[in-house]
Amino acid sequence: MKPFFISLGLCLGMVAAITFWADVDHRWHRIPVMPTRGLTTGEVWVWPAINWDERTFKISQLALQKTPDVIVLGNSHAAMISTDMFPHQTTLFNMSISGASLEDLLIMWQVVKVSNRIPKRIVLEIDPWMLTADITQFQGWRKYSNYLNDFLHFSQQSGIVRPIKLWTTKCRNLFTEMTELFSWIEFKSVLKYIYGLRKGFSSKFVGIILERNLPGTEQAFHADGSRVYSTLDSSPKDRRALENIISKKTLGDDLFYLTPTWSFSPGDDYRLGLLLHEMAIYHVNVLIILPPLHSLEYNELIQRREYKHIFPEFVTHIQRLNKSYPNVHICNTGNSAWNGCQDIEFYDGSHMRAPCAAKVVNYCFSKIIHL
Amino acid sequence: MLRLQNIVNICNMLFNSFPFLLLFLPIVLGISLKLKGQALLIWLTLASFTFYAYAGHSWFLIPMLITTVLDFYIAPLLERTQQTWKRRFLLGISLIGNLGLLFYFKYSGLILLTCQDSILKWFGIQWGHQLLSFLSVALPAGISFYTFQTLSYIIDVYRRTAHAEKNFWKFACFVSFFPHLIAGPLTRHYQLIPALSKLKEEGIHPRWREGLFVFVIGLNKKILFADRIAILVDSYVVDVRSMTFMTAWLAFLGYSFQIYFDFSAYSDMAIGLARFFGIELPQNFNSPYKALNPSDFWRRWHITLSQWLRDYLYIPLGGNRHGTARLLMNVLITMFLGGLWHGAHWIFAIWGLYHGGLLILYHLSQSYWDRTYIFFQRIITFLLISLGWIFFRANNFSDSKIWLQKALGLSGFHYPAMGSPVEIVFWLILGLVITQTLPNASSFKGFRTLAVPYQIGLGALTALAVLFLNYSSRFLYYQF
Repeated sequence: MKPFFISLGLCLGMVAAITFWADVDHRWHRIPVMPTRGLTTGEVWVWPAINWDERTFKISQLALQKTPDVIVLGNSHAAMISTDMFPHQTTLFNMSISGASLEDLLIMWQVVKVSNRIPKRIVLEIDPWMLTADITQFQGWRKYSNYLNDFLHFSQQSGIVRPIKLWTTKCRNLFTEMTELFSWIEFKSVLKYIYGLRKGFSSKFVGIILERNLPGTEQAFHADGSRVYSTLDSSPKDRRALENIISKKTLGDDLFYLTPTWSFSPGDDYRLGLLLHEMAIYHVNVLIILPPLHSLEYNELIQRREYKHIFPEFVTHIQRLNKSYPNVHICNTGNSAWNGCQDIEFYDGSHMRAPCAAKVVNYCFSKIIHL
Repeated sequence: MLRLQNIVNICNMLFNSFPFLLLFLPIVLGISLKLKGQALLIWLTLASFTFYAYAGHSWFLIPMLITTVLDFYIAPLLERTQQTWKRRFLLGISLIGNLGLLFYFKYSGLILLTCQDSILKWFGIQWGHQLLSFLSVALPAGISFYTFQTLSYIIDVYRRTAHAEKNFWKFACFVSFFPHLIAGPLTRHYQLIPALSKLKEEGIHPRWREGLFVFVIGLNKKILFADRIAILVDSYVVDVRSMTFMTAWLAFLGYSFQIYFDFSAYSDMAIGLARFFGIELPQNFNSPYKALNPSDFWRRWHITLSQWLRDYLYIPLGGNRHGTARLLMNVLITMFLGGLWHGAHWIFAIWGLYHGGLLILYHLSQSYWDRTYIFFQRIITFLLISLGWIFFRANNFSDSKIWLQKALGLSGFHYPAMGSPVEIVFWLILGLVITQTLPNASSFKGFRTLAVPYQIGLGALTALAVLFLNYSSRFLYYQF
């Protein structure tokens, strides 16, 4: 057995050592890059493809700007919501985070609170992806919540936010951190990082530039926190190409996380309730948006036997909040037919392009509530 | 609360998870090696309960405990009692208890839903929603496996071909022994209880080399093959309407390999783990895609279930003792129930009937079939078996019908319009090469006979599998 163990040990040891050295997710020793001043209209923040997390930008920019009228909290499905979709002179800051969990929303709300940037209205984008009792299926995302602590710790130390005691802080344990040293996704990021170092482009476009100078292959953020996708992601696709992406990626991969054991857990109920309760105390009007899905993905979600209980259960729970909190309105746009989003107005199964985001905002604010 | 949840999440484990490999297994094995006698049985049982609770939900323990306690106390009564009616009565209690739990958790929803649909269709009346929601409970993992295990035990005691076990912890360990608990191999009392008796007397004599080898093979099969193929197959199956003739074939052939690598991986890992404890679990797979006919396939695929169905269903029904017509009927009944055993959906019953049909086809054409070239026998068997997986994998009847139509060319012959099939073709060729040319994992003697370069290669492959551990999915048979 010796050769087997030597080979196994050497391979894993090498992967762990390189992963630790690169530390692309800032788990062990790296410090994230940060913008140093507030952006103005027409400017964008170009982030490094690796070694950085958008929370850095969102939190620092919020602290550097005036209190907006509307703040968007959510995951990447809400990333395209921007100021120009709202009536003139409405100021907005989009604090949505890719792959956000409910804990992300809670922490971002704490950041809003302690930064004293409490808006009149919060748009809370929530979908079933954020909530699941079955965390084993979310192990790929679990690193986010750990990283969140790192980041929060860092942001507090840097004085961006005052030190706060967070009831949402997750326990960081050595075991989870250790297993991340042996993670394919982590290692893949490391390989990209090493390749980037060799090519010299890993830090080429990091920083603030004018949007008109933005290279098409880069992704960036506007001053209001809304996202600019790279042309690689946003090139126009016909229905067939889109369905191919959805079938291969979303339905074969993303929906995989929504297993038959998905349920709205009491923990989620409690945390969401706490979040809305706090927002009520601060007199914040909340609009909960259940974002639209591409028709193919929506149909899959409501028809396929292992998924079909998820959406009705999720909607029922969210709608229950409407009765408990008078400051909360619900806007369910899950079925894209309701708000008029076309299939080609999605990047994939669940990420809407800007035209669809505009329709959602228009639908929710005209049909449900008025600004 | 959050912290507690987190700890639970960390410990949420199956064989292909870090918590199992790095925490549960070393602790359980380490302590087991120090123990002997009753303490060892108690420890193994409690460890198995812990595994079961964290592999699924803690309430899963309740039906398993009911089954364990019920059969443990009924078996000695059955053994002592002489009067036939009393013995039948006791057997009836056990069957009602065991099958009742299985029926409640697994089939009640299906029956009610079927009644509901029928009444709505024929009389236009909607009813039973509240009852349906009451019956809509999660299926305890492995309930089909341990129920069949205890059933075979109690039936054998009734038939007086087995003795009732007097030691509760030994019996509880037989039911719950964690390597085979969730998805088999379906182990009989005479295969495990004597081994546990020996364990109690002598302590554990681990067979590291043989155990680790089979375990590692299983881990690699699951993570490097089954999980990779699953992503590709799912992308086709998700929308059967847009399948073409070619993608329909790619999908069901891909699924053939996915389910084989997934299920046989679990069996390999279970056998490997049991060997760490010095126990030999029965072989569950013997290169099934090398089968020469449908009958041969069922002697190689999920062997322990096939044997169970043969011993406790097919033979009691009359087997082949009452003429051809009765034999064919018995085959169909056995395969129908065997299909339903897999899942609470009529589509599994159709799958079972399809296999029943294949067995009958083979029986009727055996003289011609067996005279064909072996190569053709193998290819035809593989294709027929693979085609049957359509029923197993499709989401519903209409999907399976469409998929089958496309696969049979009834909707025309088209090149795939969606994406490039290169990746899945690569996996199909690899799957074909592995299943047709490599020997079965059980035929290896472990690391002892494996040459150094192969050991080094296996080590590197296993390292790659470890990198994917965090993203590995559940085993397909977890849901049965």
